[in-house]
Amino acid sequence: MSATTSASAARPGWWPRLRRNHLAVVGLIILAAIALIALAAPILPLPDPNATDLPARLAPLLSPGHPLGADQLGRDMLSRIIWGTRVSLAVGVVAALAAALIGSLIGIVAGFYGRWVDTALMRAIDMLMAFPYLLLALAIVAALGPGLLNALFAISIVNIPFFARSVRGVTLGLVRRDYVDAARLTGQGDFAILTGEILPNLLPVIVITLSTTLGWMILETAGLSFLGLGAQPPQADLGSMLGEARALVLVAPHVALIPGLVILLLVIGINLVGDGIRDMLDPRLGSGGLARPGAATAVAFDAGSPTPEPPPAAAALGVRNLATHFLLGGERHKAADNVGLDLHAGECLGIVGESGSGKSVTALSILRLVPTPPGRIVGGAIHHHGQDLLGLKPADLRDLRGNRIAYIFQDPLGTLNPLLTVGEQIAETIRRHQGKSRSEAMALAVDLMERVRIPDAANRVSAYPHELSGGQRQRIGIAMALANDPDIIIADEPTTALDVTIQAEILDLLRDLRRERGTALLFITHDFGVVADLCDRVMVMYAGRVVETGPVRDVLRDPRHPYTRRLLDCVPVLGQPKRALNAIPGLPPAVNRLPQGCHFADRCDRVIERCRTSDVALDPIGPYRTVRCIRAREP
Amino acid sequence: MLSYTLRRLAMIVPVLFGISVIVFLIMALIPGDPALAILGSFATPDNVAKLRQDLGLDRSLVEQYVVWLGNLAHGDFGRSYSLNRPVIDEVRERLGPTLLLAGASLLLCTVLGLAAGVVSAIRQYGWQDKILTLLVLIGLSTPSFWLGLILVLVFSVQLKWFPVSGMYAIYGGGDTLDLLWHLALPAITLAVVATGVIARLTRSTMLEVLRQDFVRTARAKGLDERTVIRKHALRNALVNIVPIIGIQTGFVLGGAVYIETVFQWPGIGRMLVTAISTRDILLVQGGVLVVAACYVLINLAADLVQHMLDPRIGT
Amino acid sequence: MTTPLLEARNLRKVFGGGWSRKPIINAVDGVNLTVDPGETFGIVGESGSGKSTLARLLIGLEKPTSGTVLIDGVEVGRRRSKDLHRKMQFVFQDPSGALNPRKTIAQILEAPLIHLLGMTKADRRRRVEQLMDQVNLRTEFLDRHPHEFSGGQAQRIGIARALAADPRLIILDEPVSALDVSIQAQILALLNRLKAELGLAYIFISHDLAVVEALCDTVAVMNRGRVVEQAPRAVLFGSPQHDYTRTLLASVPSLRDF
Repeated sequence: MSATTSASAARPGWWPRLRRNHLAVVGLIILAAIALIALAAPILPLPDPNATDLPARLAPLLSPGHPLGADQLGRDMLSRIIWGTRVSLAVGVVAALAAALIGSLIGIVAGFYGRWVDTALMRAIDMLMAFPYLLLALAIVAALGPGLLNALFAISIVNIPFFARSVRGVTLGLVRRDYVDAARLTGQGDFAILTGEILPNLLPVIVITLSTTLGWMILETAGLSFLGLGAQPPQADLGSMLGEARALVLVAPHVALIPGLVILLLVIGINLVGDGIRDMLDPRLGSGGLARPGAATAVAFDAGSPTPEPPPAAAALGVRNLATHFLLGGERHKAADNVGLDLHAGECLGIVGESGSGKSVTALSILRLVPTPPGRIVGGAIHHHGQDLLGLKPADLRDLRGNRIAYIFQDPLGTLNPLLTVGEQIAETIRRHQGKSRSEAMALAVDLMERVRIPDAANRVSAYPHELSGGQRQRIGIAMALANDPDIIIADEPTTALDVTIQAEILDLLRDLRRERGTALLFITHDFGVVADLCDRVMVMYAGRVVETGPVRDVLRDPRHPYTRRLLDCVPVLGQPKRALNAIPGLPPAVNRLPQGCHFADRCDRVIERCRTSDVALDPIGPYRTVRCIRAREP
Repeated sequence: MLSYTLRRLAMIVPVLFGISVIVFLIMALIPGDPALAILGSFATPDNVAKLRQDLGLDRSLVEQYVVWLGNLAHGDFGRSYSLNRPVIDEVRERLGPTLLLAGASLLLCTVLGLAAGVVSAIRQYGWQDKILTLLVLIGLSTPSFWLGLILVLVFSVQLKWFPVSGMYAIYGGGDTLDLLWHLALPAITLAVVATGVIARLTRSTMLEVLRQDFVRTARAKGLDERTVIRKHALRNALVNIVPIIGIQTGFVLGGAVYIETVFQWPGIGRMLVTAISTRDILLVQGGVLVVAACYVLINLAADLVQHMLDPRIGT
Repeated sequence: MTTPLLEARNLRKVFGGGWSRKPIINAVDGVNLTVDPGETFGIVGESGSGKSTLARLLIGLEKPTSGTVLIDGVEVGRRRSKDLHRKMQFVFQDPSGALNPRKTIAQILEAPLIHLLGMTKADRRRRVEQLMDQVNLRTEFLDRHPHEFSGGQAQRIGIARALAADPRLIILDEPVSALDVSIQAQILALLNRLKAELGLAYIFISHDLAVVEALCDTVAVMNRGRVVEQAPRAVLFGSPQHDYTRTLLASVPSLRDF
């Protein structure tokens, strides 16, 4: 969506974004409280954590003078816990920072210099990763001898690979970015590129890895201490307290359980904050981007939205007043608004528009394939041979999908399942709608592949998508759409990702199939050339609305909407190099901030006062033509 | 498939070699003189020199390594001085219980983690998702040694449902049922963290996969949601999850050290802890080497499973 | 006869092979070309034809397996790359991908002024404002970050950066293929104007034959790493000689009949 570029312009700072995540705030409070108490230990009125007081040994909770009781030597538990937390926290943080520093350095160097440097460093890291995590730490402690510093050292070393690998992965990606090449071309050396171009983009990854491994490292150091390999008496951290009290767990459970509870709280706090930081820094998760799309677009008409006029029953597909909006970050993006169209049996209707015009959203809305969230159909009517599609039950909608109405999508690699053979993917839609057996469906799949002119179909049927070329994959997409002999095919930019020679073959194929079967075709494209080549009628969209419709020949020869006319002027035509390309000044409006009146007014050379004051209706200006412009009838 | 398996098998040779180098180096670089450590502080210089020669310590590091590796190849891992028996015998005895414990909890965490992750993803932001996410968070943050103690207190001491420790009952036990009864608590405790990791990864991978274009294609074909999720989404998610399960094995094998200590499970982990505190270096070395080799083999298996799932790998 | 501005002699680039055990790909396979001062030289081809690799070889982002590139008759690689990049610059296909998201527009435009020209701070500010003016962007934008710009605006910034060091030749690698038609027309108009004003030469790489025909003086058609046909525009589009060129031209769906 082009709308996101303008939306991200007003991105709030990190604190407001973190604050919106309530769990992260809870974590921050837990963590801050524990850290503050631990830091303040020297100035708090606590008894000496190592002062033994044998009469008070194993004092229960809430004993006088010992609010959390006392341990096997009568030492005050509260004081020991607070001092122990201090040690655990300090060791965990130092170990994490050391691992982050060394690991990131290895990762950056390996990713940036590549070749043998990368191979050598990463093989070494792989060797470290070949050990079960804790076992390597144990081996190191075994060699160095038990002790807190050695435990810290061991935990640090075994965590280096995590940083090295994730930082290297991201660095490898960054090094290939165009802006790094661009920096080379502006005369910057390796060091300037590393510090100026790569490191700033790496920091989020390092921070994310740090915040997600810190809790882990605190757990593991506590674990080593628990085993008696970390902190040695009289020094105590939370883990060693737990370990020493283990034998007493039957007599005085609180002595063992409280240190564990504090570890749990501390690590929960760290993990909550870490998750919050990750969600904040990972752009994919921004503005609810990772929400799972539902099986069908939600239909929720706006209160007070006008009842749409019923589409004519004669049309194979009739759409009236369709409004599909996206609700993002509290703003409403009117991706498609008040769209109407009729598609008759055997006809080919092209929808043309630039990105963000709403052409794909319109096409996907028909069988409710727009993802919800964030998309939602908020008004309108869609009829298929008189049957209302927006009111259909999910099961009935599924019976229609791929059966009477089928889709062909743009990217032929991404739209096929990489793990299933192409034959299986064609056969599965046949089995779903025709109730054929597996082998019958496979045989039909081979027939279909032959019909879309895939050579050696009988063998190709068991190929996986990645084994085919782009053009052949799109032929599979077409075979899938044809599988149940639909009366309507909706093709959403099916040739945009293809080379021009392949595009010509696919367009030929579609033309022939249409002639043979009389299937109606709704063809979405940004390319007027393709429309001229294939379609009977055309519909031009701009900023979510239809601005002009009519027979292809009439619209291309005599465009009546200023946008259509000026858009055609922008298209370079082969064989007419002297044709002046007149650019349209400015940019289309963002669909979350649409102007009142005509959406094109700001870029139009024929604009008058009245264009901006009230909505412009889509007017019929001839038997087969409509235009959304108040000056359409003027010469 | 066969050629991929062979190629992958060939690739573990350098890994095993690397592991042996690292273990050898860690042990060889121990500060202090092993001969002195063995003989104690009353040793005469002559005795020390004699022992150094016997142990091969007077030779170069590379020579020492070659001799050591040659011995390993013959199954000679040296002699544990604290147990006064060959290291290989002790390790062989204890490997079974550890693998049993790790295997059981790996099974648990895979099944539970996958189930929890899938439910969480398809009920995103629903109450099931919220409860599972909270449980996963707690699971990920729990010190397993502490959780073990609590489970023993509650289920063994208070409720007496499960035994406190050990692998078999001292009197009258010894059958499979007895073993499973003893295995339950340690395996569950060990599985908790890994379950959290797998559940979390499954959830996010499923959410990612469900947004892919081929899922939209599957829906556009009219397939029902169960088919879309099982045949199209979960299968693709598994390609990313299986290697992580392989890596989790490493965490489970490591975590077994705590659990074996808490539950007195007669495995390699407990042996290692004792060996470290008695500075029985050869025993540590043997235990670490054998477990690491098992881990390498398990990761190999995970790779092969991933290869079976994904036709794009290794062709 | 003047020396050409840029000359490539028998340029070859092979990927794969050797230790990597990947199949050997002759991405660029013996390309010769010359570009004169002030000329717009078009290179057309489909994906995998090697046209982008050729562009990267010419600008020095990749090292050729064999062959030489000469600028003003001097072999590239014999001199410091800074001298090369003062004479020759590059515009990338993905407009926003070529701008570091963490830098401001001012920082992006100043980089060549600092590193290639060593300008003082006051001079830089003046030059940056002049550059923004040349590509029709308001100077208020200088303190903003790349994500705040549309694709067309980002491409203007990329062009301004290429202009910064005052080069004589700019290599444009599919500069408009990521843009919508109406924005594409804006950028093409801008390129035409800059060329007239500054006397630039372009190497214009594209898969879009109509765009190349509208813009270029000389056109080379690439297929599988080789230049299969090269001719002045009118000749190449008027009477194509090679079969591949003919197939390519016949494949373009066109508005010519309307």
